[in-house]
Amino acid sequence: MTFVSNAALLDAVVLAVVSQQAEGSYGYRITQQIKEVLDVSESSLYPVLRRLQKDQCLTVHDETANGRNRRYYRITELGLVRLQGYQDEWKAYTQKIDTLFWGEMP
Amino acid sequence: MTKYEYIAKLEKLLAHMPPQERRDALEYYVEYFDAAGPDHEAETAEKLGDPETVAAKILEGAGLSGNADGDSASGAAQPPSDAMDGGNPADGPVTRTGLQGPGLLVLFVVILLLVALALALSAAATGFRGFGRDKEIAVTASEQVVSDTPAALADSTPAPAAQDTATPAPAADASAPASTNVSADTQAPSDWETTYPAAITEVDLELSQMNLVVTVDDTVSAVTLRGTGVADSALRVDQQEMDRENKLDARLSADQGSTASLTLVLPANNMPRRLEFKLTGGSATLPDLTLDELEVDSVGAAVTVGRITARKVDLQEEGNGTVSADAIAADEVSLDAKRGTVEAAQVSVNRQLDVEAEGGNVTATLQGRADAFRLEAENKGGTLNVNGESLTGEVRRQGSGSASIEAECQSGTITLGFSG
Repeated sequence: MTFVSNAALLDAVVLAVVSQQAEGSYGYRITQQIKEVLDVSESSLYPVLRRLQKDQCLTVHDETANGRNRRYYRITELGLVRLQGYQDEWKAYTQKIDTLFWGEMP
Repeated sequence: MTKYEYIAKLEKLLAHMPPQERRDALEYYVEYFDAAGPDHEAETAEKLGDPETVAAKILEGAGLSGNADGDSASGAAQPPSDAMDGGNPADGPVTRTGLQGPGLLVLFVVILLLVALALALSAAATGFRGFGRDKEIAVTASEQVVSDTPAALADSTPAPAAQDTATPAPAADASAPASTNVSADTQAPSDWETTYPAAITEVDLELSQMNLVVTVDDTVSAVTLRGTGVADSALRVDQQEMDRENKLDARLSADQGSTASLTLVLPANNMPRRLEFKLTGGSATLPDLTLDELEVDSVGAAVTVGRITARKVDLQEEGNGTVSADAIAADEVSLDAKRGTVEAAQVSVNRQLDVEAEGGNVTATLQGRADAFRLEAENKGGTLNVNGESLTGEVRRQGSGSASIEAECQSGTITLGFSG
């Protein structure tokens, strides 16, 4: 039941959102996209991004936009593998819940 | 809260992190504010929540929780510091009684008046000079109220004096919360030093024929003025501004051709958020500074400024002097040469650059490409050169970025270059 833990779900969602763009995404945008789906506080994201970076699931590169610096996060091979793992777990978990709610599906 | 205030607070709360990690975290939030848009700073600060909570999450993530803030007894879980409703949330070394809010303020004012009265009487008796007495009051009264809230530079709205004079300097550093040092004790010593015990948030100096040196020092915990070659009785400090707004508002004049000098020492860990200097003649040297607002108004002085990072920077020359800055990085910059010269070697502006020449010369090199800036220029009779192109009359151009330049040349010259 790993998805009961918010930390795991947040990790999974961050990886999923970042993986959607080939060139990666930046903190503010990642946060806004996640907020559309989950009710997280905006300050929760930085520690997650940091940890995923340390775990080598994300890499960073800096770009200048409008004379300002912007740090982009991109998913790595390892990150994709971990995301896949979360996706499989999610499927298994939600199938169990679905069965509970609506009985066996054909 | 502005972006600057928020980040400054966050920086203090993360003081005990390894430098690189702290830099990464602060950089993330600076970029966050930038991406949300410069017009939404207050909203963004609101959405992010208190810096204390954000800092706690950062520290927890870095495996450093529990030691969130060695400066404050209450650590990371401190209640919102913008609940400035009288009582101080921290548990400082001085135990508060049940007095809160207005009660505390009234008590403080009463003590202040009694002390003032006592000192006035003794001063009259000993023939002590007026200015010294004023200093003594500020000194003694503040010693009543010492706390170690890690209040940041500018997070308080004009709060009762009782709040602000509670020195937010780190508790460990409370060695000399108040000291007035008159080295020569003749009638009018010309070598003196004064330390202002309150946490000064703004310094406003109006000087005439003085040589001003501003330094930032991480070994001092309070704003200090040192004078040489000028009597300390010549220094006029607006005590009301000090008591009410924690602002050092002072005037000092020397005779033309004198070698009088004034050194303003700013504590690196408790920097005022705003500095304003009005200088008539003489000279001034400002170091590299990071603050909210800097204003330099020169009338014939020779002013050199280091690398400034701020929200707003205003440099103006009205006489035949020169104001010259090594680098400016700010949201809003204004360069105005009524006469004389204003120059800045590297200007990085996020929102607006205003340039004006009414007979003087303004020269600036901007970071970025010329076409990234929106331009509104008017040349009424001088020389206006933008990116190597000489402009006449009125010129309006759209820019690809979000920053804009407004240039007005009545007479004199304006030269704006771009470093691409």
